[in-house]
Amino acid sequence: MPRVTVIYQTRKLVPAATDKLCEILRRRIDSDLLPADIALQVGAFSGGVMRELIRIAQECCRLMLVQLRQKQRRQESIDNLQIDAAILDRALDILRNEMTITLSKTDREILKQTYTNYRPDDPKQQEFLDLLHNIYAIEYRNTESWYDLHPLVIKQLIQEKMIP
Amino acid sequence: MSEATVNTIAEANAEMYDRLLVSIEAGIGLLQIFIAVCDADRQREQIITNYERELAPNIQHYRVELDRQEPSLRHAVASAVTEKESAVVTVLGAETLGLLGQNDESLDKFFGYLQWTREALREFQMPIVLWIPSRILKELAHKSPDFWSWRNGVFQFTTETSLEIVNIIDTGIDGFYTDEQPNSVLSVEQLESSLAKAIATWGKDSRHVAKLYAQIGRLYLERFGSGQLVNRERELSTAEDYFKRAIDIQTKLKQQEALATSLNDLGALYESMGRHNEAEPLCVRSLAINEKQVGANSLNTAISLNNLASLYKSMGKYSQAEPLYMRSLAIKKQQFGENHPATALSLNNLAGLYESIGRYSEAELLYLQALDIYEQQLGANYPNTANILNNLALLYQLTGRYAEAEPLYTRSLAISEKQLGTNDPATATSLNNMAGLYELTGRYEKADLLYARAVEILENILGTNHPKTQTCRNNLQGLRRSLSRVSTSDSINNLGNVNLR
Repeated sequence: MPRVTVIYQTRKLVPAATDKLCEILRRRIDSDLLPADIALQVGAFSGGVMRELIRIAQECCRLMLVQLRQKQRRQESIDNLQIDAAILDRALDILRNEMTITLSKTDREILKQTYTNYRPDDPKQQEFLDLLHNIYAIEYRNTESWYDLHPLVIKQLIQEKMIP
Repeated sequence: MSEATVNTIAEANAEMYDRLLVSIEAGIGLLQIFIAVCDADRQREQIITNYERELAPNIQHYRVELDRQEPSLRHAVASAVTEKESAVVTVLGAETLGLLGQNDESLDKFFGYLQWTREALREFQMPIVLWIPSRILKELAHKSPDFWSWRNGVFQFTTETSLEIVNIIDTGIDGFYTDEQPNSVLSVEQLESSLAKAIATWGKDSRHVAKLYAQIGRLYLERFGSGQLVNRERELSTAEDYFKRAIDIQTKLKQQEALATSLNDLGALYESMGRHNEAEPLCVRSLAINEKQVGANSLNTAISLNNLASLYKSMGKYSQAEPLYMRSLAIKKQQFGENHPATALSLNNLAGLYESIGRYSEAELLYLQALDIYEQQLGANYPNTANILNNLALLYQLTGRYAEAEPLYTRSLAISEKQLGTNDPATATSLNNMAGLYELTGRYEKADLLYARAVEILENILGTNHPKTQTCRNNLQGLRRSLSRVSTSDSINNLGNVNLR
């Protein structure tokens, strides 16, 4: 699966990589519909995984289309409509909920460990491999191989107070 | 249920609908997998009808049903879809899987097929809307993880309590089982005055007082059921309070039988008010006491079983409801025989359950049996007959037999308007359901009229905030909204698309 390394081990965003993600978005969505700072966040929340980038972008577009319809119905102006922070937040919420309904207690423990140590206790454990396969955990490689969680999963675990 | 909560559900569903609609539109010509989650048949039917109508005539729409023996998504789609462009296909039938208990492999087969599906679906360049009940969402994500990862969107609709099937709540008030005087003979004033005397004579905690509290509560419950409350909020609140007091005293005095009845009645009260979660523990307790005190085969147990089952059914817990209905039916048959109205009541309710889980032919048989019994034993104009007619009509409606449904609704309405008055919930239900039929068959003006009438009745007898009133109002607003959309849809298409590829 094509992947772009976005994050160092300090969890800071790598500019070259995020630029690339923004470019990919730009090719698909006009800049007056998707402002630069929102595009950056879409990239950040994708964890560097192409499919997730597209998924988030698609959900944002979907919500914008909904707003378009609602404004049309109320005969309001659609002139300055764009994918703003509110739309992005809602999109992320929707996707986060979708993702995390499937997580069991064991899954959460494994994810917590992986987050804290950048690797799971047992990388061969079937549950971990399933989480990896389904992009709840992501494998990265710069000078070495390491693991992190999907940013939306991180958000969820923070909300559940499982990680600080 | 507070007003804020109910409005939020309706609004959330409306937004979810919009999300689904725009997704289908934007997905025309692409293979898109949309997972739509809904537990209420009629609600689902309405949503599908609405988006099909809004997409027509440019978009070809298909509806397919999963085969229960071989529930393959690909197979269902392939068997019906001919036009492969400018089309959308809606897949139904998942709601009937996995309901038969331990040996039911249908669900696992379904997941197995899904897991290997994607390549096979590539030939269908169109949005596929797969409808599933909420109980299998999590399992689907677990057991078909690859299919789950290919999802292009998940659309979860919250169940709005629907005015579909009338479950006849069994309080034994019909007079079939008890030797007590029906409450309607005495007025509230008389009972209240007796209550005051009883308290003065025997003290607050006597069984005479408990009996009167329970009686007054029942009277209000009965009146609520037939739309005859004068000051609804006050009277319901009094009923609730009195039942609780009766329960309190009965518990202290260990009057088990009376306690079971009062628990049942308070549960029935909560259920009619839409407070299902509060009703459950009461009905469960009532059943437990009845089973223990009067035996597993007694009439009181049958009543408790029926009411708990009805509660589970309204909560969507179908597999829990079925055995309870069956037990209740068995007891009635044993105690009263096959042709008694009490048996007919159970037949109706079991049929209603089967209808909810798609077992249509079985439901039809039971409804017809129940109808037969009522007509023979009580005459064609008995109020409960109206309920069964309504339910059978809805069944025909769900299975596309519109021509057969309509006369039944008409009959049902005639009975309820005549026998129960224009202010009865049963009348409102018939009006609402009939309006739904009109809507499905394109007779929008009539539909609007009937919905409006139903809303008026419900606001009167149940209040603005009651879930049923809200549902009916949403039906009306939904109709009006979708009609106004159809006329503006042309202008929306001209707006230009956001490229999602």
